[in-house]
Amino acid sequence: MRLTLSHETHYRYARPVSISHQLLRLTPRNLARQQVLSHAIRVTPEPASTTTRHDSFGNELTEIFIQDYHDELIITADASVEIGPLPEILFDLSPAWEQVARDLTCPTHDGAWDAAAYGYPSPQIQLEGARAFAEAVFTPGKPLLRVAMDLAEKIYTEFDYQGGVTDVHTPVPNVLAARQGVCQDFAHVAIACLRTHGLPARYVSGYLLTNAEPNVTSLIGADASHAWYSVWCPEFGWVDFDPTNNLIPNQKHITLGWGRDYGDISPTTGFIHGGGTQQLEVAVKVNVS
Amino acid sequence: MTVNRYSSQAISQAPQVLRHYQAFTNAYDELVEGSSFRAHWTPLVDYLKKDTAGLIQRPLTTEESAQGRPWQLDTLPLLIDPVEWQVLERGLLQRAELLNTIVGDIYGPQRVLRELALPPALIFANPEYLVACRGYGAPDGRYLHLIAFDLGRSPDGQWRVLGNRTEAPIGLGFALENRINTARLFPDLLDEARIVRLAGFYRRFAERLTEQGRTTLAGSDALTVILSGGSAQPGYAEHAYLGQYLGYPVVEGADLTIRDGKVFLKTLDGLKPVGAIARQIESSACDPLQLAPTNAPGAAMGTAGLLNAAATGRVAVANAIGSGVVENEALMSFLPGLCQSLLGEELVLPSVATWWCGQPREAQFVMDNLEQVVLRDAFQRKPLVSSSVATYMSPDLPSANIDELRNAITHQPYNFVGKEIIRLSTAPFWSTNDTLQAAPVTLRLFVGATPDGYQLMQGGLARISTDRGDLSKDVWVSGSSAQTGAPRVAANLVSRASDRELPSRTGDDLFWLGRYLERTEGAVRTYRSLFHYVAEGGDEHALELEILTGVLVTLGHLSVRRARRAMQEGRIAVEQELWNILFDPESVDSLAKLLSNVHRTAEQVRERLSRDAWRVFQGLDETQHLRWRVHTINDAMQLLNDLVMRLSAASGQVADNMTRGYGWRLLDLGRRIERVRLSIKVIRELCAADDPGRTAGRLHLLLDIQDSVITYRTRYQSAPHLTGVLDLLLLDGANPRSVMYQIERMYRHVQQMPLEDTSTGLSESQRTIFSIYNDLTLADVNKLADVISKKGVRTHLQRLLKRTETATDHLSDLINKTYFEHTLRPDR
Repeated sequence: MRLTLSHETHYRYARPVSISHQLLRLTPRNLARQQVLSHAIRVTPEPASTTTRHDSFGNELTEIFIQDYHDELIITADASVEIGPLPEILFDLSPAWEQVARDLTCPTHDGAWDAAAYGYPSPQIQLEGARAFAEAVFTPGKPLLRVAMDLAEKIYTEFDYQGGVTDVHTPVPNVLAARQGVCQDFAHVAIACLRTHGLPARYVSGYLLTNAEPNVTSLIGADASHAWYSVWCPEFGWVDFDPTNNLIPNQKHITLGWGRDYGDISPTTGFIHGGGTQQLEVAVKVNVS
Repeated sequence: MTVNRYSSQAISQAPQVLRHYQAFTNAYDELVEGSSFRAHWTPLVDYLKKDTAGLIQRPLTTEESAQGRPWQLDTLPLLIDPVEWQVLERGLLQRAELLNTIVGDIYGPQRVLRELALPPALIFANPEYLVACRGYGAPDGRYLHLIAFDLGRSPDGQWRVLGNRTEAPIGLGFALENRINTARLFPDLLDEARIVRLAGFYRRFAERLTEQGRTTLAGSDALTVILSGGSAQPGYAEHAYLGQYLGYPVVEGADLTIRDGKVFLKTLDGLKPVGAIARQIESSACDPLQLAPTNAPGAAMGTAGLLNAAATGRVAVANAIGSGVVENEALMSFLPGLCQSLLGEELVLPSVATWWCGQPREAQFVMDNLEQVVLRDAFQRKPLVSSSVATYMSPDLPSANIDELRNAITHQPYNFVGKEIIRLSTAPFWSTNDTLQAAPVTLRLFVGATPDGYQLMQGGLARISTDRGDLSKDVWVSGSSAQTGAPRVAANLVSRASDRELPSRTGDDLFWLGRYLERTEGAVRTYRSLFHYVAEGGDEHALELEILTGVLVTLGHLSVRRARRAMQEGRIAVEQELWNILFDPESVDSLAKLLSNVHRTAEQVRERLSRDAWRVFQGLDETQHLRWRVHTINDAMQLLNDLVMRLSAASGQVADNMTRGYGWRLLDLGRRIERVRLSIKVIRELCAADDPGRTAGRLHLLLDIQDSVITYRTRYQSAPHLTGVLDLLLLDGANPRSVMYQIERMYRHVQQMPLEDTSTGLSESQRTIFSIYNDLTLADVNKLADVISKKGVRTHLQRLLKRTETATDHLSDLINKTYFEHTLRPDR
């Protein structure tokens, strides 16, 4: 399926900004099933410098530096991607979760080494409370991918999707206590549950096609910006799960990038001089082309 | 190899202060072996014998040791056997190479993980491992420029490394300070015992860092700076001290900016390239753009974009951002193996035994022996200051019950490490009864990168655990005569950072220090006049009291409410409320606030002040806490007289000891601007309205507040009259208190400042000052005094005052805009 994406970030400042330094993670990744056909980032006002590089997770970073006085900043990312269909996943062929956890304490091949970096607490994902919450899911000997799917279902069933009660810095234990939040919180909770059992899981940031066809139940996502988690399984590699919609992402999920948690892949991080109070408006559109 | 010239001597011939020295039976003692003193202590023991007068028998008091240091100094040094020192040296240099190699590998190819089988949790579960630093290429592969090692000696006589400090080790400044203080007490002994000087180490370390900075892309004139968290941070005293000693500007994150990927210091003279940064803030606080995307405290300390500049080799950061990754105790037990694999050598110096629970066998051992090990959070770095020597010697088992603890270890084993409890060696210290007693001791030694590779500082910092808490000690090592002798205390290694490199923020602080100093002085003089009249019997001086409280209200030092009460109820009310009148908490600009502001701004520029000047500023700040001393008007007068003296001392210190650079000019500009504002306010309050009956009293007060009574008397030899007073206070360029005098001084300063745009003749600041100068020159003093409107206002005077005031405020704005504005702390 071919999807087009437009992601506009619009800052309005009460006082002029003299210097603005922004780090953007707005370039979708090329993957086996996802081909980026075109991509462009436009910034107003014109930056004095724009550089791109890759972070250690392989995501593309765009660093911009603006030194003209300005009272609004508009960043627009447009992309067109082709997403292939998901092959069938045979959950019950995956190894038992304990086995994977044990192998990861002493990895023996590259894939496992790359995965190991995602197996521990990270700045925004602390593990307190996750073990107790997920106890029922982690039954002895259960195949890992079955565990991951059951976890998505448990979160989908027990949590309310509720915007505005959490923000990008809400710690996992708070989300666990409140049983509500948005896609980012749900992904964080699932990742904490996996990591507390020694299993590598990463945070995936992306977009969701919410209105594929009229009259079909829409999927849930905040302004089409979306997040889910991915679990690493020997032989299978990384497999994505969307706890907000209780499914495995297929052709409606565009992958932007990933990291250990939201902090590693937040779309824009900025530092400005001046500005006073600021208003932020984000508009994301995903369409079938 | 140094030949030891001394032989041991028996304790029976001990000096008086050592007669009762008792070594512990179950620990190694640094001084005593059996019934004799160890040979390398002989020079000191002999010295103590000769010192029958007891001149050195005292620890330094807090007053003497510099403020802001974590420990009091015990003046008796710790001596290390030179032969033993060579082993330590070999071991620590090897360790430095090893740790540097490991850091480079962790942020590079990660061979230690994939080829050398280090457990992944050791790196990935460690919060000091900063993912964003992956791919960081340090110039010349030097990630660690300065490493501190904490060591303790076990009962078998073996030194063991207790901790590797690689993040931003502190203590370099304290070690130097200790040596300087100790050397004062034992001037000849240092030479006689051939104790190695420390200065060489600092010089070589600084040389290497500066050189590295200049070979980065920043260019050959690139600066080296100390990146500090500012005066609110605990380590600031040391940063200021090192900055002064090494000649490096001490800057904060907001003083630096990144342009085209390179680092610049914002100075009064524009942006200056920075080639090397001695980092004294946490790695995670260095770059809010990449390292602390959450609103973590301390995020505002860093500079946006610094990590990328460092990682791409455009600036040398010492130590490299992320260096804390090898500071944890979990790594300790892997060092022998890593040393073998990475350097092909045996690890020379052992570490204290540790059992990291990330491995199943070790976890089991720890769980089986919870009462016999020191259990620690494996990755938590204990700040130097908050840990104490005693914690190495006893299990600090958390109060949680053992089962809970076992459970926690089972679920997240990698978060725990068990450490062997070590019975540390003992050394002598001055006990409170002026004799020497034994107490457990640890060493902190420093390895620094120099042009000749890593070197061990020939000395260091010892900490001794006493009944008065931890004390610090100087560490003495004897060597060949070429390196020894007393330190040249005053000699700065590198020429003093020139004023062209004065950070704009520091300029801003100096400007405000000048303003607050002057404002405080004005307030104190006015209060002194007020209390003078109150003391003389307030009722006869009702007029003076009314005028003076009015002036204090106008200047914002006294609230209207309190002034009214004092006036209505007279002397008794004043006496009852003395303290509240003096330090009125309700007023906008109370004396207490002013004194705090003086202290705060002085603290911000502490590295620019001499130690004596700093002491004066601290004394000033203490005054407002002396409430218990002030009961009567006379006490208050005494306090105010004392304050006047201290303020003059502060001004004197600043005036005499600061180089005549931009910083000093800004400070003086601040003073002059404030003096003009004060003069204008007081003259307006007392003379702008015609009040024939009271003129004489008012004029006398005016001269008193303006400190010009004597000048007036010598000039006019008559009772004050208005034209004479106005001439003296406004127009007379020869009176250092006159407005005209201030204006001339300001003009001279502004002419010398670097960023004045004179492309159209005069800069805007110069034009502004010139306009006041013109007004004052052309003013007719008789008209100022005699032209009075129907409403009783001296219109000419009023107008001149208004114009002068507006122009002065404008000048202040201009200085702010031209020199300080780009230092605005960034918002998020």
